[in-house]
Amino acid sequence: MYSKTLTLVLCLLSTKSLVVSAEQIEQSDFVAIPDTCVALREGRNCYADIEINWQRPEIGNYCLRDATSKHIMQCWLRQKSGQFHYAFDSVETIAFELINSDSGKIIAKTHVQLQWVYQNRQKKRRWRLF
Amino acid sequence: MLQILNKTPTLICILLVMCFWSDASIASNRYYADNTLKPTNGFAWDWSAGAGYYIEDSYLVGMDSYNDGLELDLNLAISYDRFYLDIDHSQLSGGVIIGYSLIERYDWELDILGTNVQAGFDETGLDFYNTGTIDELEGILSRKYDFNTGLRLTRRFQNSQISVEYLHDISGTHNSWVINTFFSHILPWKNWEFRSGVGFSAYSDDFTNYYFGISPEESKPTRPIYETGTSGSIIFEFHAEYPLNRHWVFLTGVLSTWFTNEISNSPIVSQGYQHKAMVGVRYVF
Repeated sequence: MYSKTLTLVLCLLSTKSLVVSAEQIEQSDFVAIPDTCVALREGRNCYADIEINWQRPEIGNYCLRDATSKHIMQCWLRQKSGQFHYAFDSVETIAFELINSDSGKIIAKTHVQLQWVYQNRQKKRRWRLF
Repeated sequence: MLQILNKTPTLICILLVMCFWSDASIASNRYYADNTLKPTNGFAWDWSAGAGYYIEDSYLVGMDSYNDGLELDLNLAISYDRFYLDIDHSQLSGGVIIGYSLIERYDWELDILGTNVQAGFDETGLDFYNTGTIDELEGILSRKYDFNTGLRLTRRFQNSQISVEYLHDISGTHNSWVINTFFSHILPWKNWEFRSGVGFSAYSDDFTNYYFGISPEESKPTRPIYETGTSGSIIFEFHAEYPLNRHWVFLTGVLSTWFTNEISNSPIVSQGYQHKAMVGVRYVF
């Protein structure tokens, strides 16, 4: 019975891998990896080390910015690809934009989605382990 | 995957049965709360199921001082305004608690609640999976699960709270009182949640004698009659929980319970302490 239970647990775990597949990377030229941050409880900040990758067909001047605040996070001069490491620390989903710094035009968008395990934030939880 | 989904009702049934057959020892209502979070209003619920590997050093005579194994657990939490229900079989022990907040004012709270405090046991010991008689316990009468009702007063702080409970058995098991006090603290760090707590419980002489006394009909040359008075225990515990993904969490924890002499001197108790540790995963639906 224990072996069956263990098998079931491992099967379910394998269906929800945290790793973003290589196929997904190839489909887009502006991606955040991982694209999801999972916090334990709704209302808590979520933390993750995010790698943002972009590539364009032509060399140019590009900037990465926060889609909401429009805060510029990094710019690249005469490049056609780039990478940025971002320490995600947020209580909500964050969207990013890749812009052409010469024209200000938005070229691509991506985001890191925030999820949580426990949505019930009731205060009287027994959160008991034993 | 479809096969797994088809078997889900069977799995749930198994877990539900096991939920009500816990192998708990003395348990207190060890509440934790992150009072920095905004509470959910109205109806809210979640349930989860998981499995864990545990090791324990039990206090009952005849039980292996290094007992380990795999256990399933099921947890259901429902709240509606001031009402709450918690069914909690978490790896090593658990039970059911039902409560209602009578007063919530400032950082104080008064609840009325009903819960199990002490798990029953018989000559097979505390281990649910053990169906054979333990020689050292052979011939003892069965100790039943109790069910207590009472009041709990809680003072909340940011990530901590301290509570005092006065409970009285209404199941007719020992028909007496239990007092629990518990201080708990939650420390979020990155995506981890660390929970620690310390508690003191006092048990009436009727409670102590029902579970740990030896009646004349149970006595034998190696097990003398034992009658004692009010007893107590101190609990230390530490948990850590980490989200693996949207539905799976990793859990680990240790629990140490130390008993007063009234319990540890009982002929069916081998030592004045009990330690448990576990690691496991849980699926939150």
